[in-house]
Amino acid sequence: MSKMNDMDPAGAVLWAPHDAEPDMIATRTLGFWLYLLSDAMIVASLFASYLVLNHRMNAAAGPTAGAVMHPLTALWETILLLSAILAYGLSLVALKRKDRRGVLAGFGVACMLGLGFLVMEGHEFADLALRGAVPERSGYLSALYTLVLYHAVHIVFALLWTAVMAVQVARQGFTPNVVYRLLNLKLFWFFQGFIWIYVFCFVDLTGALHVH
Amino acid sequence: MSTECQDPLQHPQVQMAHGGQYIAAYVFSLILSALPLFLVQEHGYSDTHLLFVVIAAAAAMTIIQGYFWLRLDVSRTQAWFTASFILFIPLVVLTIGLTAWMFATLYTRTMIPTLMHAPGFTH
Repeated sequence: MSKMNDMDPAGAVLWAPHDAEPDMIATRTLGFWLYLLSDAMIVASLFASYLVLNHRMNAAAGPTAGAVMHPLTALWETILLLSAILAYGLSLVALKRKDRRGVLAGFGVACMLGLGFLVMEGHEFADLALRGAVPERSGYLSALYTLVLYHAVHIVFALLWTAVMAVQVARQGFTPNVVYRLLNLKLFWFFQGFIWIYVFCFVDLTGALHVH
Repeated sequence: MSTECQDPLQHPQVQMAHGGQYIAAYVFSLILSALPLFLVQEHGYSDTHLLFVVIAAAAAMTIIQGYFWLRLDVSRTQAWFTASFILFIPLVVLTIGLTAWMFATLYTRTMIPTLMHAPGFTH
């Protein structure tokens, strides 16, 4: 009998009156993650063009990968960048403890190491350009500069964003808006590590090999 | 699951930060970067073998960083991050793989063989 009452349109409850609120933090971090994946599609197309242009015909009698790549320098850059990412990750461990000074200290270390990475990479490419290996020299060099500098621009934005978040953490504390931005920035930093290991492996390391 | 009115620091994505796992991924990534570099510099193996070593190192670092840094697992909070990432992998493989395939056949059929082996074009 009670089942019949439930079927009565006048008394039926079609949805729970107190439905769960959308989880603001989870929604925004997932949205930002999807953006990062679409950004990575641009990186994938840059890798595809690098693969195609990394050919002696496209070097136009100019330097090839073996001549411009210094894998040992790239290892130091890898150490600096991964350390910067680790510092940011550890600042989020401090966030879990509600340790505002720990978060800011992690940001400072991450920014210093990230800046070191950019200085080292800038030095490497300035050296290349001074030796005449400028992007307009050949199709190969154009592809190399575009791919590596696209990643470097991301690190510049990671540093700027971290600096902005340091100000927001200091002034606003750990409000929901600040926390979701910190989580998005974590995804951003970690994802740059992802892309860098591919640059390191398939541009720097394979540059020393003689295979296509 | 409402978090609007709760402490945002209690959100599972904040609580999953784990110093030990972050450091483990960092150490493994450095080892997996230094090892292929050492092998490439040594030139003790053929270039084709070394290429496989480099690819294996990149794949291993992807899994380690993906699991310990980005936490791409099947837990309730992370499942959609993992799902979107797995669906993203074929897009990357197709983008790079089809381009490489297309140009590899194009190069072998269109480039003038005498030019490709000219002294100025040493690889």
